[in-house]
Amino acid sequence: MKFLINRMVQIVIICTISCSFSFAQDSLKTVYLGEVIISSDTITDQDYQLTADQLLEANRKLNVAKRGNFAWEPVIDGFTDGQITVAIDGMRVFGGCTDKMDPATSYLEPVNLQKLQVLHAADAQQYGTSLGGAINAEMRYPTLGNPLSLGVQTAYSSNTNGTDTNVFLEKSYKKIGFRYSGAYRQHQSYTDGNGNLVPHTQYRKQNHTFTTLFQQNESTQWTGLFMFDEGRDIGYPALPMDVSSATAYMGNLGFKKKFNDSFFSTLTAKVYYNSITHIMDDTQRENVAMHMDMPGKSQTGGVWTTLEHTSSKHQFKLKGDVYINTLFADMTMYSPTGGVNMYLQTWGDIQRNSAAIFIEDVWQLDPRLKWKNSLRLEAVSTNLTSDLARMQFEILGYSINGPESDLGGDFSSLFLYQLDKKWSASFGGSYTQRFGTASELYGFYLFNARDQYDYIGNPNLENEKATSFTFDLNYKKGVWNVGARARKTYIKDYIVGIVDENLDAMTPGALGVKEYQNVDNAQSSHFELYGSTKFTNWLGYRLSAVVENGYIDALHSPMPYMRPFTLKQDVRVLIKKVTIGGQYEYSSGMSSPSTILGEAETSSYHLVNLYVDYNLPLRKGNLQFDIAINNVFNTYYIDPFAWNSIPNMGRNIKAGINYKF
Amino acid sequence: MKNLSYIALFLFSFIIIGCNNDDNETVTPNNPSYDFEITKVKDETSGLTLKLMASKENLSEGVNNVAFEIEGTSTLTTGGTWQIVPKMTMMMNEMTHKHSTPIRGFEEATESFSGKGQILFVMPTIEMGAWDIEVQYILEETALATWTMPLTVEPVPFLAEDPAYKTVINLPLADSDNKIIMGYNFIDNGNNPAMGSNNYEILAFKRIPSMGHGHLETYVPYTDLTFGVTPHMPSMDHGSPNNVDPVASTDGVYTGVVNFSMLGDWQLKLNVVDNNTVILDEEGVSFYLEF
Repeated sequence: MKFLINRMVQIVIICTISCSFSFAQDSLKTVYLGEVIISSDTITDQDYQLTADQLLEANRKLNVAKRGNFAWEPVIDGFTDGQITVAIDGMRVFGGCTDKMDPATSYLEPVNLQKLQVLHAADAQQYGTSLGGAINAEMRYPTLGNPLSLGVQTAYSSNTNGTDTNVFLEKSYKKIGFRYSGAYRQHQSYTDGNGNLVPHTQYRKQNHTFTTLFQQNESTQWTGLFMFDEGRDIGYPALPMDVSSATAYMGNLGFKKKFNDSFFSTLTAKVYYNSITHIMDDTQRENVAMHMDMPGKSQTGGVWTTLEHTSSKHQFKLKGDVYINTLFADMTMYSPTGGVNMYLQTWGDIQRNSAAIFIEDVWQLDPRLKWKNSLRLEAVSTNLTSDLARMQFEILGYSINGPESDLGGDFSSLFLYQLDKKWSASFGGSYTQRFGTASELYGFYLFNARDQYDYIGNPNLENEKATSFTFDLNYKKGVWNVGARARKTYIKDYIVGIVDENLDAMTPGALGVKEYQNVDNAQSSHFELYGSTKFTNWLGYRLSAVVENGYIDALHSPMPYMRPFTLKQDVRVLIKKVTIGGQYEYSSGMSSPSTILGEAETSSYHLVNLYVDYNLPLRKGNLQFDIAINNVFNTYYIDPFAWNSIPNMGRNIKAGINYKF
Repeated sequence: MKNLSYIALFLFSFIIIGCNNDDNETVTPNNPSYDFEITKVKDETSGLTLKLMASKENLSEGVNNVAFEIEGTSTLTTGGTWQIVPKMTMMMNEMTHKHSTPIRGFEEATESFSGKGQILFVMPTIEMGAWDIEVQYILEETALATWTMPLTVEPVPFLAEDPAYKTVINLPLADSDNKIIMGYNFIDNGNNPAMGSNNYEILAFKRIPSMGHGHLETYVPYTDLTFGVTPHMPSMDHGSPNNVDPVASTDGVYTGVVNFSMLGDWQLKLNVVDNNTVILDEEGVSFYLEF
């Protein structure tokens, strides 16, 4: 054992020296560093007026890629799309858009959420095979014994002449409870820091969610969820098309059982289904050479079961999960000259069946040292089931007659060390083999507006393989909490689009065609510092600083989505019933973009936000008035990950009123 | 025991994948068949009825895959040959004019079956001109049976109006009165183009004018041509990859592969060379499809 520990320490030290920065691992935080992280993931009613996108952006463990003012794509340590997992209330959810216009998180509403967690390594692996991490959105269920509660919030935004309204109503009894929560948002296009309108940044959205909880007896609990979410008239200025509607239905039934006198202490199970229909639209665009219809549909059904065992030395978890995801998208192009219309299938009924088993054990080696090991084995079969789509692939030289089966998964090993009451550290490594996504395997001429290439899938793709080393250090004393996290990842068979000179682009104006291929090698580094303190009961301060870099050898290019140096500070003052806060953000700008993959340089910027909350307790309930000024100095800036250099919103004054009892 | 049942539930989740999975269906090509009866005519001399069978519901301008078959179980005397002569009778300036059109194949004939063949109709039935086809079964220079079938040959209309878009290419050859006639046939799909990879053939004939005195013009296979074919989608201005230029497979028949990456309008731009003489290049007329 000692040898193993020494070995791991050596590896971490070597890794730490070899990368330009080091330390810290986020995956620890939810488990080891505990409360601080969990509380920051917990959604409070202060968050309800934010969009899910804004919540993600505010999370220091995440970044987002923007194509407009809606449906920002989450990025974890520079990894995105198929490299990360999104779980909504335990459900696997896959967007219905071939152009990634609707990441699963775009169907979320904060008023529905209990937690929005960003997880790494073992914590992420129980939700899916992902080398980047996972986003786990836990929905809010009624609290039993709470007779009736109601909350209403509404806010007006000056920049977009828009409103955000949400409501929740919860009624529960001793054994059963019900909760409805919903939201409606509508925003017109925003103006940037130069006062120029950024066209096609408008959107409307509504969400209705019902949850219920039934406590059958002391040890047995049932839950149910139904959610409807619909976006309308959503603009995507970075893309050539907008979205007329994006509709999601999600439902699940959960079961939890506790045992007092058996080996396993808890059994949890859930069965679920979700369906997404996504309709792209270019009828609001001017000078469209050829109008196109591009609907997409994603349906996912699954079931999972978890068994937990706790003893003095071990915390053991066993999970099995199964899901089936079907994707269909096609494209009709209307002849501008009145000729025959054109048609193809971009996702030709792609069906993925997955079965996985996940095992985790946290072993208390001694009072100060825990060893956490986890293993996920996942078998998938992916098939292109549409005859027409199979015929399409013939032109690329592929003969697709049946499903492709693959075995992948993750292994993670982490040491959690409590040096003393103040200092704690964790270090470890993980190895992941993730599967190609539906688009990477079977996408057919999917236009990527970022690098202006049509992308085609490659059914022969190998799994992407990543080895990560992480180090996390934390100091906590009294109100002070300071930490650092570092991660270094080496990737073999990195999946990326490579130009195929023999292929003609289909999309008018596209530069050519890229086919997904495995290339060697890629690597990335992530380093962050964070800290928080409460100087007094009424004065608090938070800070985080992050920088990332990465490189793809085969392309002689930086990896995309590597965050330039970003500093965020947050000060909050509470004076009687008034809270005054300020946020300051500095980004050094994207100085080494992955131009080959469509990234562009961006300038550095300073951003200041201010807010004031006035809290007025009433005889029944609580009334709160909020005013926030975002981008106080009306700075013109472009987010480093923004597609096609679309500028961010200029100054926005947001005034809101909240009531709840 | 209770625990066992929960473990069973857990394991059940893995079984589901086995119940709902591998779709081993394969794509079955729609091979050409001669399932459609176009017309039938009875020969009063022999009392036999001849059916014209085709791979499509209707005959149309361009290449048609057809066969003639005697209805029922009666047969003719063994050892004869089939003679098939399509003719169009046109009224022009109150004068009657007749012309024919290329045919090929009709091998492996029997006493009741003409064998499979192809008729390349150079034009559809029009107001001023009607097609018929005369089929004879000849034994020792005597026609044992003669059938004359009136036919309707449908035009192939296009939504796009471009005089360069053709189903049948008919071009004069330099330094002679001869012409080249070309049509296409999608082999695996009853001469219907399909999404994806298509095996196809181009039929090329040399048209030699009539000698007059009531003779019809003649068509001979045009051999030794070199083809370069570029599929192109005019409305999207792109092509498709991995095509195989047609090469001679038998006299006057050139077989290749063309890939269509989507449904819509497709041109087959042609470079046709006879030895060193360019007969047609991509700037000229082309085959054109809407599907």
